[in-house]
Amino acid sequence: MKLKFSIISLTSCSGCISALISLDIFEDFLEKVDLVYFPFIMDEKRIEECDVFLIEGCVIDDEQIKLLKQIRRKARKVVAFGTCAAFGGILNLSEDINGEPISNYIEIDGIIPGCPPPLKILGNSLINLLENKKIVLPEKNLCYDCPLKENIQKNFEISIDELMDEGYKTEKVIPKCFLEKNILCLGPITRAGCDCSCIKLGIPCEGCMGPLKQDYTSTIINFLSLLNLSDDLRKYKSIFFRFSKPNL
Amino acid sequence: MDIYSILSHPLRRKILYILDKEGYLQYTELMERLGLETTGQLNFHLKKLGTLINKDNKSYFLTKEGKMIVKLMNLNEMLISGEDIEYLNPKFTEMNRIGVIICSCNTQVEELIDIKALKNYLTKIKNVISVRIFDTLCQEKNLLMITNWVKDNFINKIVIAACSPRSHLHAFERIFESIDKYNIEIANIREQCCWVHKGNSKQALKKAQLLIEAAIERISLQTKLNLKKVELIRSVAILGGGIAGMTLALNLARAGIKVYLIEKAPTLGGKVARWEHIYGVEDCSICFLSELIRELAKNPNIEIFTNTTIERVSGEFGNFTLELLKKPRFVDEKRCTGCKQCIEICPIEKKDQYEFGLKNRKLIYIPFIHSYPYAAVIDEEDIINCIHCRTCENICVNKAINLNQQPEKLQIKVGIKVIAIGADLYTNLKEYHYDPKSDIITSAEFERILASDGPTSGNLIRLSNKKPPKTISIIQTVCNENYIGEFCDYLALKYLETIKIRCPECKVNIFYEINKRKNKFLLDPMDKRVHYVKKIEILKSGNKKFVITDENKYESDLIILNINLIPNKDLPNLRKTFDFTVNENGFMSKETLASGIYGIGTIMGPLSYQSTVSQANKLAIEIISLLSKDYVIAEPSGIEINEDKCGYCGLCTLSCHYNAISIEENRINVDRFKCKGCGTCVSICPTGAIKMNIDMNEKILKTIEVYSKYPEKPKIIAFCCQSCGYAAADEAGLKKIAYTPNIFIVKVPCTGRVDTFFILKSFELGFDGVMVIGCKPNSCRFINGAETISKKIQMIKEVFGDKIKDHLIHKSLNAVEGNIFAKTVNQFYEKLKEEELNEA
Repeated sequence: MKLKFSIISLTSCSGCISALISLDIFEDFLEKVDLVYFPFIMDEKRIEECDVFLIEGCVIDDEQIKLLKQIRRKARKVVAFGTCAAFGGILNLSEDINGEPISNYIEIDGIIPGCPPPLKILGNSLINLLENKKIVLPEKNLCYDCPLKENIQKNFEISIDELMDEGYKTEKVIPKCFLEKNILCLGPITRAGCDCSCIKLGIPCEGCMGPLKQDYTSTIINFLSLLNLSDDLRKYKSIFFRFSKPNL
Repeated sequence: MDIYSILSHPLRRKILYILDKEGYLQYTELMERLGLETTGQLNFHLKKLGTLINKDNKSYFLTKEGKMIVKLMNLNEMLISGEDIEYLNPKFTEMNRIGVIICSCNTQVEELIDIKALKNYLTKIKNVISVRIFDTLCQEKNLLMITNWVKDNFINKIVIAACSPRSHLHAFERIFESIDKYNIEIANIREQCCWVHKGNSKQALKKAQLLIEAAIERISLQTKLNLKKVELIRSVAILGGGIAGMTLALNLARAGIKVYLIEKAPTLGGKVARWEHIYGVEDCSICFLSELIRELAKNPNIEIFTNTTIERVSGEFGNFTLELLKKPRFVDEKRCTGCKQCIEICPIEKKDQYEFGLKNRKLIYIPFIHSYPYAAVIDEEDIINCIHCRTCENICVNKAINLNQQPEKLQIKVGIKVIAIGADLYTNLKEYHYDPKSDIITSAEFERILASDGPTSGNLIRLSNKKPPKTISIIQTVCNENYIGEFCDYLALKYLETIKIRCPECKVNIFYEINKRKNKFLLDPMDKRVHYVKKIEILKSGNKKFVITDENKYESDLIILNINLIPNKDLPNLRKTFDFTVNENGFMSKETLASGIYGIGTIMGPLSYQSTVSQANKLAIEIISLLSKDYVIAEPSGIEINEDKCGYCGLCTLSCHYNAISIEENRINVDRFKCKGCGTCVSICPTGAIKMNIDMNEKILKTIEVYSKYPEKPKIIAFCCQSCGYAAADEAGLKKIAYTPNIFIVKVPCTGRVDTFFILKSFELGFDGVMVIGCKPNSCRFINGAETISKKIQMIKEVFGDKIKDHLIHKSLNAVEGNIFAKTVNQFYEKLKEEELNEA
């Protein structure tokens, strides 16, 4: 019997769903599952009983919370699909709006992180879901895959005063660890799995794959307390709430 | 029927053992094995065994429950038999059988808390097997009863609700010797509850319940540990044959420890050998030094390597391998008799470094009169100046000289390494117009002038005109650093005495720059000869020399620059092979030494002779006691790294000041003897690959969770480092200073261990205030823990602004500031309470 899948978007840019649709195995996926609810491409309005519910986007109002509770009742497995659903997402860069992850309101059975999720991770996760297994994510941080990685030496002082590599504009990026170039790179505190696509383009890691051990804000404070962050960057709060705000 | 009465009969236990061994046995076979003759007896016992065994149509076998019971019985036997250390990692710790003991502490606890209610509460907690109340557990009374209680209940983990772990943990560890150290947890209900919450018995009871519950939860999370055991090699390598190294070597050798004394120079002696005499020691220094060297030479436990350097070090505490390089001496030590014929005939001269260049010596030479080994030597760097005339080779009757000698490689194995290479003398003396020929000399050169074997044969004369000086000026502590040791002061005291004896008419002035003064005056400030001034300048005009101070001008025949000691120039090089760090002055810092590596003498700073010798004696006792055992066990308090999670980002190495973690090409390694278990790296690690063996994240988070069940508001959680914050809280308890019961103390090894997540989680779980109490910034027991946490807290406050700012306190206390602890807690509590009222 085919597994019943549902996919829904909350507050989001639909980027993750676009990534899903452009996936090379998407056709096979459609054949193997019974898609019961997918407003993005289907007319079906009612949420019905299903095996797996993929939720994209973050929670910002009460209507969505009600919807989530309803979904939880109907679905056997709920998976946060994309960084917004898993951690809150870029909406948290704003001062007024607090985009919350769905796990603040309902129990979830797994996350597929990334903004949008890297195709490899997404594909593997879908296969895991189809085989009724747990989603397996890399447990190491990005430095493990990083082409620019150098061993941080003992007594090596790192000061950070930039967010972007100037060399990116002129297309002359010196191939060297961003931290050593005084540029903030979140590679050390970010989950591996994206093949360092930003770093390969000359952009330091933004941390979209999310933290590993605990919430993002705690992790980045632990991380930055080791480095000397310049006063300007200290005032720039968005660094600390890039994809999540703690629920205090 | 309960399990204990089932097991009470030996025959039933035997049945279980046999079935465990054989698997399946038929009725008759079982009867044979048990040696029974009547079926009735066996039937009775088989019935009694109930659910532990089962029977199919043919044979009897153990059920799952039965197998578990047999495992437990095996474990129990292992524990009782006290088998060796290998069994310290019990195989079944995943099974939690927790025993709780409440110590009523001679009614101290009972007075405030309803101890029965406490017991009832605890009995209901998961995994708790038995709760007992004992009176004064620390007195070690009723020992048999306690051990039987542990044995009968198959208890493998114990929670003791009693006084602070700082008071009697060791006594408890002794009582429960059958249980691993890390499986004993203490809930501090005396110092941190009963003694400080007098009059609040309801709250105190609730608090005590939660304190013990948290301890039970913590111990349930404890997993088994692999204790690392290393055989100790009973030998010590001492680097440096100066006074520090030699004193230590003799002490150790007399205690029967093999000592390798390694000296870079061709002779033992160090700096003291060239000093005339030592302040406070009657004898001339070369005289008592030669005695010491003789003692060393005749002791069979000491092996001396002169002219030798260390090439490589490998291994770990207890078992180091040192690769030595013995530089060529060009003279066979054993054959040379020290007749000096070769020295007389050698045609080449150079400046004698042992006389600080005041005199010349031949290329082949004997450093000084009592040098050891007493044999001629050509320095390796001098051999290029040798013209290879071979007259020395020819004249030597013992054929000791070999100008083609090659360096020799040696290897030794030692358990402990000691660095005692001493310090260097300050040399940058340009601004003082240093020039021995016009009588502006250093203290070192003055020592040689005073010494009877020196260039002036011990006459106190000026080097320029060989006449005795009439006025001498001594300039104290010549160096441009601001570390001041007692070294120069003792020298000046000695000079005052010596000059008075040798040259009574001579006028002496001592100048001291006031900003270099130490707090303690060794030189009497009331002495008219001692001038504390703001600035010192030396003026040379013609033949005359003047010392110009703030207002005055002193003509001086002889100016002595009393130079200070500066860090040894070999120190940075040595750091590559030995693990230690240097302090801000460039001397070796004692704090960061890894296990099995020690430093003594002036390598640690400008110390006097007396301090050096007493340090050497102290270290000798330490090493002797350490080597009195056959093996060492690494403290289980360290960390464990899960390589499946590690991304080798290196943040942990950045945070560890002990160099305990090393990353080499996608391999990460922890040296368990270097790791001191502060846990700073655990709070830093972004992937959660690093786990503490004892104070793991789960335990701390669980503790916070349990404490958050406390019903009253406002409540405060305090993360206290075990050496200062926690001790201060205990001190408040010992002094019985009352403070609010709404505070809960979480013990962490170091405040560096406190993860930002713990703080945010506490707020999330409903705590109104969070305190972090650690050591004073400069005296953190783990070097940088206090600094790391203060950075974190500052950042948390900046990021969350008003929301958290006033609800988060970072405080530095030392262990005796219990009153300040209580005061801070009460103030914080009052403030939070006021805020709560305002909001309402």
